[in-house]
Amino acid sequence: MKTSRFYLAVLGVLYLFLLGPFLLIFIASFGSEPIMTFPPKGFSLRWFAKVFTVRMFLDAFITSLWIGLASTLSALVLGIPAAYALVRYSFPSRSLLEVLFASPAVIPGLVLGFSLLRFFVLIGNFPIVLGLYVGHTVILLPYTVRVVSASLRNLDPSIEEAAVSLGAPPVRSFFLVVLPNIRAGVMAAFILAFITSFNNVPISLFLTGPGIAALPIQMLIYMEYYFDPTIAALSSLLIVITVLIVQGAERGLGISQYV
Amino acid sequence: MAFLELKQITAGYSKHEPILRDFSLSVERGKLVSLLGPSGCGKTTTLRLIAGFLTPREGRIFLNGKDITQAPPHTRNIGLVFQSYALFPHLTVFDNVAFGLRMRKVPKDELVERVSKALSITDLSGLEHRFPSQLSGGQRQRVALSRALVIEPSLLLLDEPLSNLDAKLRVGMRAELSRIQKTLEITMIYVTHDQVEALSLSDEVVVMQGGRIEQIGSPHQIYRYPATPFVARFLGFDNRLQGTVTAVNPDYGVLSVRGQQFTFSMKAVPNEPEHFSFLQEGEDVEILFRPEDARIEESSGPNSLEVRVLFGTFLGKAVQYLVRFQDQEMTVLCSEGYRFQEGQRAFLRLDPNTWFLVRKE
Amino acid sequence: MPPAAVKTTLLLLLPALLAVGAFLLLPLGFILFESVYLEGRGFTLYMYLSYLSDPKFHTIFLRTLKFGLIVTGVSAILCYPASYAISRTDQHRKSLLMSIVILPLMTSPVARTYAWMVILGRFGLINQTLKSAGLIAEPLRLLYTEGAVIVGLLQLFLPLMVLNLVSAMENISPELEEAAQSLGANRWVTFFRVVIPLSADGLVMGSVLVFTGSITAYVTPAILGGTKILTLATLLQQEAVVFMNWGGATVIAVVMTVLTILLYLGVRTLRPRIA
Repeated sequence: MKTSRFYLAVLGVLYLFLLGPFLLIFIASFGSEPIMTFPPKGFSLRWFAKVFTVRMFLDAFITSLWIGLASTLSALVLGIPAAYALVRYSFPSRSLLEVLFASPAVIPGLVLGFSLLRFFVLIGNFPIVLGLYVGHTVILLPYTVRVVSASLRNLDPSIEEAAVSLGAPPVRSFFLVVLPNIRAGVMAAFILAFITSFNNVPISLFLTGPGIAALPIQMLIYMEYYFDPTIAALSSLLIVITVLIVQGAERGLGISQYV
Repeated sequence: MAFLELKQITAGYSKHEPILRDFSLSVERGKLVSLLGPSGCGKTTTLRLIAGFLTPREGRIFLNGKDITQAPPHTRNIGLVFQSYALFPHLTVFDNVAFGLRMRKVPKDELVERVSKALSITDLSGLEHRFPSQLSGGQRQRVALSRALVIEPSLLLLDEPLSNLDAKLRVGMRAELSRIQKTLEITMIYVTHDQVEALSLSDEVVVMQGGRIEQIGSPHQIYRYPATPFVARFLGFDNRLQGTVTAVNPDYGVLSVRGQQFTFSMKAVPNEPEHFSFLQEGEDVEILFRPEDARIEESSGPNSLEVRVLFGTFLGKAVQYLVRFQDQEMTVLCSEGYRFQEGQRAFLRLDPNTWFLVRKE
Repeated sequence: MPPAAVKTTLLLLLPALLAVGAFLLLPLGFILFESVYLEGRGFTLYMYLSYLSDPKFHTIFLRTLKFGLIVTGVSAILCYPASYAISRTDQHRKSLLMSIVILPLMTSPVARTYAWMVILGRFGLINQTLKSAGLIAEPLRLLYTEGAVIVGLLQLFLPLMVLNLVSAMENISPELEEAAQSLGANRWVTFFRVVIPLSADGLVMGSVLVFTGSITAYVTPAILGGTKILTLATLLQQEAVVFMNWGGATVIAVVMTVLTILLYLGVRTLRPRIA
């Protein structure tokens, strides 16, 4: 156990740097002036109230929520069987496929968003919202595959054979015996993926149009025109929600090992 | 046809060399048969074949008269106890044991009764609601056993089930397994690399190596009359002595070990085929014998060799001497306490009834 | 593999494969195609040549690389002692520390970056503090500078480096350090001779992730650099959405992708043990 002063100092500096800005934005969102200043003058909750009245924020929130849910579930439905095949079976092209499924995380998100825009929307007349959904699903796939693979590797393969030997046909044995035991991994993957989708900018940036904008993009647009603390208030809300989810996930699932 | 028949099986995992080639095995109903051999000999492959997790490339498998070669594993009604126990971590002991019954849609009352009975046979009553992570190694092993037994399988396969237990537990569990097998009269096939396990449990031992059967016999037969050099060495014939056959006739033979004469009877060892039939005058042979089957004495006698004692190790119930004859070293187990000093000359006395002769390679 | 298992494997992998093929490979292939095919001229490298020879592009390109190197370098140096400390604490505290460290990675990038505007803005924390301390009369221009972007990037990528280093260090048994000390090495020597070499893989992986992340990051340079300080990412967005210069945009996109892939491949060949 290193209680040396040096390490404490380094950790202190690091965490101050990482967390400080969040605290500041939290404080700033309570100011009463319509200009972002620090320290804020006065105390008011009006900016928080304002957040809920701005139409575009509400719409964008709903959009991000739906897209997040849809793409996370899709990434799980695609990723769980793929992870199972990668972990339990061995075949010649396996490492190639592992790379392939990890590639959406390697390719810069911006490039992916841009190429989806060009290819599907401008060329193929694909509706923007579908492009957004598809783009999010693809970038979430590496997360679901990786996390579920890790859970599967920690599971003794003999229990599937035990279930089969006791009379459960293979597909059923997956649902009865494998799925319940990778539940923690699946939940961690869900939370990780959903947060990634909700906060995503590179894909959503390009796949935006009349009526369709993800929340982060909407915030960026707002920031271009207004300089009041509304964004600070919204940011504070988002940060608090994220902290609660991450802390809960860490305590319940130990999510930091999957990031 | 026997209860379980494997006929001319060729099977393996990858495209290359199959592990078993033209392999055949018969198991009588109600018997406990061990597959004994070193790792890689094919014993686990055989087990997985019977269970249905491996399909043979050639050959057929018959269980109770029925051809099950192509039958999927979940239809075979064969109980399996894995080396790692493979208990379902998310289910209680009760649910683990009940799993197979649920697959068979056994009605609730009967299910509860059968599970309780299975748990009491393996001395687990009272632990129904615990999870595997809350059990000791020995308890987990017994849950794995109950789970496989409760479905009343036609056959029980066990893959080194005791190897993860400590020595004392292992001895206790061995006795338990034997008792259960005899009480239920269930046919068991037991895979192990531990000869003591195989010898103590089995009605019949199948010694395997390199995908082939080296010998099948009762524990006594295997132990006393190994049929091949491999079986002999695997079963503890650790010592070897070089010699040459100097005379052979229908009643007895004579070996010379660097001038020392050894005489032995040619009459076939009871129940064993021509043990010494290959011997010809002038043939170079190796004498294989067990440390506990030789004696060290102060004075010379028939079939003995002058040796020098190198040192003795006290093992508690015996003293293990390392002795040297010219350039060959051998170990001898002596249960009479320390009698010989380091460097002392003594006489190694062999008993032809317990040795094994092999043609020199 | 027996044929039945082949069929199952294929079935399990097919949906994901199709998704990646149709929604990643195809679009990427398309823009690659677009970057070398010009209406009327056929296959040509014209767009690359004209775009890449533009000195303004050079400035932005080099600046982006500079950011990447600085952020990676600072992360490596700062995170080493911090990660070491975290990896050696007890389970309870470690879990808490780690859950805090991943916070910047989990929060909305807009929110996170906006916080820096509060700190660096004309009426932000730094300026207000300096003003009330009487050190300056006019607010300093801190936003829309290279420094602002770098600081913003650090807040995002320090956690990433910590994650990689901590996981690498957790694999170094404390017994190794004790062995070194029993042989006469003091704390510093042990750190440099035992801990650092054994965690080198984590450092390399972390550096690659931080570097590629920095050069492709969008939100931070967009908010903290604005149109004054452009990086490859913000340039791409500008060309694509503002100027509708598809040719230029595809060139930038390809350059970014090639750079990233080369870095990953480079790491894989130099240090094959890293997955």
